[in-house]
Amino acid sequence: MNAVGQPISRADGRLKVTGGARYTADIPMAGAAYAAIVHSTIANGRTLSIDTHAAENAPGVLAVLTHRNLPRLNPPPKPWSHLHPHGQGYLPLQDDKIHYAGQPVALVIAETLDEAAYAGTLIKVEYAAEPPVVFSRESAKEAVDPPQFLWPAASSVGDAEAGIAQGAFRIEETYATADRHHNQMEPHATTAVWDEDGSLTLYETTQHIFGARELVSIVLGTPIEKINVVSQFLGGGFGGKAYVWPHTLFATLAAKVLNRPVRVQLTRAQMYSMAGHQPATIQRITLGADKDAKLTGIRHESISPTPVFDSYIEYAALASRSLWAASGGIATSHKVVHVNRNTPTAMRSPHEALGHFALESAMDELAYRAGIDPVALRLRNDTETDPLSGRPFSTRAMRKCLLEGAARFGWEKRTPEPRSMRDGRHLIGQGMAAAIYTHWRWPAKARVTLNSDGSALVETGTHDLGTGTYTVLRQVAADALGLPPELVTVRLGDTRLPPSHASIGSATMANAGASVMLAANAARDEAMALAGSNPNIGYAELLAQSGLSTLSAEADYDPVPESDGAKAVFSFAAVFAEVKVDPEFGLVRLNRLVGAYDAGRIVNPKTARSQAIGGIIWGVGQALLEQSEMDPRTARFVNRNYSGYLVPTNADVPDLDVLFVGEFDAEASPLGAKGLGELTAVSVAPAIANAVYHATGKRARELPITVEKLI
Amino acid sequence: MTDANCETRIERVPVNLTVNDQSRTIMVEPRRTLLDALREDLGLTGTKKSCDRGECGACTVHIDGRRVLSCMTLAGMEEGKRITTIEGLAQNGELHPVQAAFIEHDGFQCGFCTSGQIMSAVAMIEEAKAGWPSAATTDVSNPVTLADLSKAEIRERMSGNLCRCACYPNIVDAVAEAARRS
Repeated sequence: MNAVGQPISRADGRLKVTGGARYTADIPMAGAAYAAIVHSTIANGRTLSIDTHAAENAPGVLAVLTHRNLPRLNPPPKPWSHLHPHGQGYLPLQDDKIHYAGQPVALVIAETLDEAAYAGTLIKVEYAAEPPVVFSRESAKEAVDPPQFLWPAASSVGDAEAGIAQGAFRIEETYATADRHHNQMEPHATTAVWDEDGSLTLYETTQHIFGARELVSIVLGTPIEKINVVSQFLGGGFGGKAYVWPHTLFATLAAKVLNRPVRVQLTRAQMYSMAGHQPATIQRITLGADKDAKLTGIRHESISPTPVFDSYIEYAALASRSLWAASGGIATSHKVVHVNRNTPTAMRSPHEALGHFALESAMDELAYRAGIDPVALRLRNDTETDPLSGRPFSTRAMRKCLLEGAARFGWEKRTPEPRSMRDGRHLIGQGMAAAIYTHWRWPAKARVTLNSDGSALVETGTHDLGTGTYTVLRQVAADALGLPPELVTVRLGDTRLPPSHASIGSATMANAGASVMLAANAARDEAMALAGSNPNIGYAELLAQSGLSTLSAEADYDPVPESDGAKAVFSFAAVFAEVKVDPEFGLVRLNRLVGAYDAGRIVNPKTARSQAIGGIIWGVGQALLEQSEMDPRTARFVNRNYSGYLVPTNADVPDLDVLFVGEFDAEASPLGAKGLGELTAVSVAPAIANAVYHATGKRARELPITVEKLI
Repeated sequence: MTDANCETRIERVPVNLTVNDQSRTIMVEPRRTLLDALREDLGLTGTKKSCDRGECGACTVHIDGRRVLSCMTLAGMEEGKRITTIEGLAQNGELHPVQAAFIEHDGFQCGFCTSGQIMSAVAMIEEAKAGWPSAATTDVSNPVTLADLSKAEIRERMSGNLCRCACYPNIVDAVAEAARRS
């Protein structure tokens, strides 16, 4: 029986339920000193003086480092690249400038964490403060065109304006999404260890060990071959741990200065200024549609904040480039406002989850304006060709997502009139939204070794963020080798292994997974060649007979050139939500959600379903709860904890139903898999917002949909 | 505290604890939380520090059989107490039924909240056995029994444990099965 396609339990399950899985801050390190970070209380200006005297004399303190005595760092390279992914282009503790609230102004290293944290409170800083600039509808008027980042900032196909003008229906509205923070359960942590020969080991909470190694090498000027980065278990990443943030560099430098291991773990509050976040967006959407509700034009413009020193673009309008056909044309653009905050970053699901809220809300508004069912509207505007590139989609099961999702949900029982469905005194609303998600391609290498006992070892420098990588790679290798999965061990998360790519963009299965399949195929082929006329011989016997202790094969998978291939590759989804709204208090509760996904072939339905329910709930947070509140006077995020920043809890989550409707997609990957993890967090928010409209007749165009927006 | 005071090292005090059935004595500063004592002084890193202020449940352990947030507890306050951590749940290599159910129902992804979820679930089932009601209990005139552990009850009783991967439906299924079997 094939292992791929089976709902196999996690390979690392036993380690994780017994407390045996060692995350970065769990790794024992004899003689480690602890670092605490002291922050700026202003958001703009400079430090006039930093009095470290009391801190330096506090018990247990080994060193206090400020911009005056921290060794100088090389600037992060430009332009930004996934190959050397700095979280932000400006490095603190290099000068007296303050660009954002919560910027580090000092680093205290002590024998214990308590001693370091306490000594930090003794540091006195005098500032010359300037008024900060914050992101708002007012400051958004000062938005500028940013340089290209991941994709061109603007796109135009056909003539969107003329198309919109021709339409019988026109929807033109502004939508907004909130600042959000990843709030991974595991805070960012680093343990830096320098050996006597000048080599550096970094135990690091990272989704990108090779990128971290590259960036640290550049910024510290340490030869890359002297650096090893380890991340074998990650307590959630969600994009926020794919980039190197300042604390990693500080801990590494401090360890060098002190000549002993240094450990830093961010506090929950520090995660709001020491690592990135998802920036708020203000999005303007204009749709034109003919009398049959077929789109004649789409214009989608998005504005988001970025620091004074970086130009991060949240590509919210990306959603509109490829989701629906528009006969006249499609135009998108992104602008940024430079403000006093640290650099935003990718957060599940960057770009798409924000833009789909605007686009798929506007589509719902169009459905009501044109008097057509929301599912029928999507079917009518479905396309087999990518509107942006003109290429046919490799596979696009949008129709199946819409129809099978609607059937599972019982959409045909919905009465379209707002406020027409009730449960006692509560209003019931049903809404839906569709989604498209980018397919990322990155090169990856892997090695597969057959052992003398008949077992196999997979080695590749990828990561398991909780996504199930240890499990699915085992399944892939087992099938290629013809072994039961229990005989396959997977090693990952260490830069001494064959290099792989960042575990971001839902790309690990399709790319790192393919490299493992190819390496396992190569190992099997070598074994078959050795076996000659005896193809049924077991690996153990074959190796013994051949006088080999092991047999290894490597694969180098590079799919990047295929990005320009004849087909456009994307994942697709349709999400259906039912809400129950208290008509007096405006409180929205969820009754149920159904998600239908085309993510190509599903390697493990069990772990895939878990990712999907996690993605849906991630979207529930975006829709109803999550908002990093910034005080406009101080430019500080003020709700820097789980009491103020609400994430979904167990009691918030209703029954969820997940369908996988995709098929093997050979253009996406030799494994037939497309991206899944982030797709599932897209279009949850518009499905819920559309359900809220159906329930109440009120259109929520700003997330999260909190009670004050409905009463 | 003045600068002069802070130049004196805070004296460490001995604390005797029974941790996972083993008697342990540690020397800790009075400000040491039980969480840091378990992780840093006893090397029991299965208990996780996530929010460090009693909001997320990742540091949940048992003190004399009750679920407690170890980040909100000073080690010195627990003199003589019986502490159970995630490392002490399996017996003779055999997983506790809640641990086994978490694997079977895929009640975790990254696993960082899992120790706390499982410790919470084990105690929660005992609370239901003891007849304790929750905010989701519809009839408080009679003691709760295990049979009353509906999905709504489990969701409510497990809501002190956050999971950012959001495995909540699977956690509910795992706890329901473990409760049925207990």
